[in-house]
Amino acid sequence: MYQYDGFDQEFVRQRSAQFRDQVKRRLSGALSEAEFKPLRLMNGVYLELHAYLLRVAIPYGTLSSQQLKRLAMIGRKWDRGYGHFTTRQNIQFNWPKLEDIPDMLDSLAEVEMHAIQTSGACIRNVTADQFSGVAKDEIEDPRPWAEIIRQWSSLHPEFTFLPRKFKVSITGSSEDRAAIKVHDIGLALKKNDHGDIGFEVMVGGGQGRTPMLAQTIRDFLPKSEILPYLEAIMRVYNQFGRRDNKYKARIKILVHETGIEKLRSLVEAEYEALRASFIDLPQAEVSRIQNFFTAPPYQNLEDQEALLNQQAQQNTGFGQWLQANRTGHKQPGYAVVTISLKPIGGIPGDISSDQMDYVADLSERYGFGEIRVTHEQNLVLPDIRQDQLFDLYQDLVSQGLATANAGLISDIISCPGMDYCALATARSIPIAQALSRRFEDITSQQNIGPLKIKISGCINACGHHHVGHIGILGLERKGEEHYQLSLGGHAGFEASIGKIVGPSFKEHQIVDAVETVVQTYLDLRTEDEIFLDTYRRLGDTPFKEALYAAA
Amino acid sequence: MAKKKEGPQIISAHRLRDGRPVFLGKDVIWQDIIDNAVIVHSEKDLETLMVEAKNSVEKQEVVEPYALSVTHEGNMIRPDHYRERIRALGPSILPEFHLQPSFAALESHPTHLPE
Ligand code: SF4
Repeated sequence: MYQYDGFDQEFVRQRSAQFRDQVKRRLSGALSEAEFKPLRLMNGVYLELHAYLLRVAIPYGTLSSQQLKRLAMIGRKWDRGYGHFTTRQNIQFNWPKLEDIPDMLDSLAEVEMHAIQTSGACIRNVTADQFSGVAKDEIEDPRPWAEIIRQWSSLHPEFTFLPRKFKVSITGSSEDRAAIKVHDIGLALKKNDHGDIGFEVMVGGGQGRTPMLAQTIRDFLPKSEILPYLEAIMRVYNQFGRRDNKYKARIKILVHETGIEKLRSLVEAEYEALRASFIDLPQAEVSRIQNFFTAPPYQNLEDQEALLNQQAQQNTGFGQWLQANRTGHKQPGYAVVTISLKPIGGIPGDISSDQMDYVADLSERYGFGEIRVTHEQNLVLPDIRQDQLFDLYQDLVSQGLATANAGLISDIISCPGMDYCALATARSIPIAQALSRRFEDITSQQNIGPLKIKISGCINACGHHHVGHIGILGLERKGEEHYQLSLGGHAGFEASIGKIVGPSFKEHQIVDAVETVVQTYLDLRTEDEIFLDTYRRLGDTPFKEALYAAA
Repeated sequence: MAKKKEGPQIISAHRLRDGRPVFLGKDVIWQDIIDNAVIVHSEKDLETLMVEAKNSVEKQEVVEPYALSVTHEGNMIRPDHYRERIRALGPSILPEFHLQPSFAALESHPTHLPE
């Protein structure tokens, strides 16, 4: 993992000391709320429905066991004993007192963490594939590049007052698990015909009220040119991005209004101009960063399929868990394990401090002390020996962390919605809980197959409903919560924006409506088709008919 | 929130120190429990009350005061909008964190969704 150098450490400490002083001045009245608000937002502090909220960045979703234990401690000491993982690989604490937040930030700084750039019109936490460095299908580990981009974008003086927030996501695999096409910039490491590895650069993706998929602005960019190229995009955006209307200020609108061709020529021109003064990344620096991400000391092991099959036969629960929550590892004899934070009827993404401590211990006992956070609000243990999977599984069962639903219908993304969020128009968590209970049985979930339900409590779409196979958006209609259903969305290289299927449903109807959609799929699917395939083959007509025919 | 021109209203805000929702009560004391809020019935009375709330803002006690419509019956004050009910009570999904205003008994939280 990357470790702070003296500069990083000093910078984070200074920032925390500054904020301590700002909080003191706010409480004494030396700063008004109007003066203080932008300062607190720059440090990840929001004011929500019931309390302040502190959002902590987890750069590219990588945590050490020590960091996770610190998050557990912070949750216990200054919050209410739990935290919530978000779709941006951040963790949120829901109940901090303003006067305690400087202590929380100091405590985070001690383990090289902070809340800087988790809010405001700046480049936000860079997110990445949660299986980086261990995925079987990986072309190149994106984490060093994510770190290089993190360093470049941290407090970049030119880009601290962008027209709007700006999100970058990166993958290095043949499958996109980081939803890069719904980011302002999506980066995919790929190999060209000559066998060289470079970036496909995509721009202008985003969700919110105008969902758009990122388009390719550069098909193949040599890796060493990544920073000047990103800088060129940012400059063009900074110059031409709209500032007159908050809802039209994201780069997706610029791409849409300018057209990708024109934008490409603007960016390329800027790039040419700036290359003269911008030195490519020296290989020595790239190597220095890459050295933080070298493989841990794996043992030379063989794959253990026979053993795992035998264990799976003896223990159905383990078999189901293995099938859903284990992913292939590039190192023989090892596995990547997803720890579902979606227990049946639970709150998606929530984890207690005790569970955090427990997972941190497991990562030390079974792995190399590393944990990943996914944008789907789960955790990952990246390096587990296959012959220890059964022991790990039993430990997870003891803490309620072994739900065998990764990628299945009850592995629901849900934003906090109106139970916490001041911007919400409806609740989203209770809908996720009710759906999870409705589809509780793991055998039927496996029969339904991969299916992603994503729920947002307002049009800001933090719950990624636009790219849910089944997307649910909570709205207010005449003083009541209503839920709009969209179908056919998908995050991934073959991304699509879901299509609203018809009039919205009331709170007590939405679970039945989703079940109707699922049943329609089960009736119409051909062998091996997952929900998305069936939807893409048939369109929304059969679903519409099933949902609204009776009405 | 649709603001009623007529009908009972109260003032709420966030306490500066911890961000918790509070309700303007008698003698400009901010209350955790909504039942203890002062109710006004006219725009004029609301304006007077809002002046007090803004003084409180100046004194660094609260932030973002606003008026909301309520229904009251005996001691019970119940916000008309579901957002305000969740705010006055606590997250609908975590009954263990709920405050206990009188209207809590009326809420079918966490939810009346079918299982
Ligand atoms: S989608 Fe809306 S309700 Fe959900 S967290 Fe984002 S802003 Fe809040």
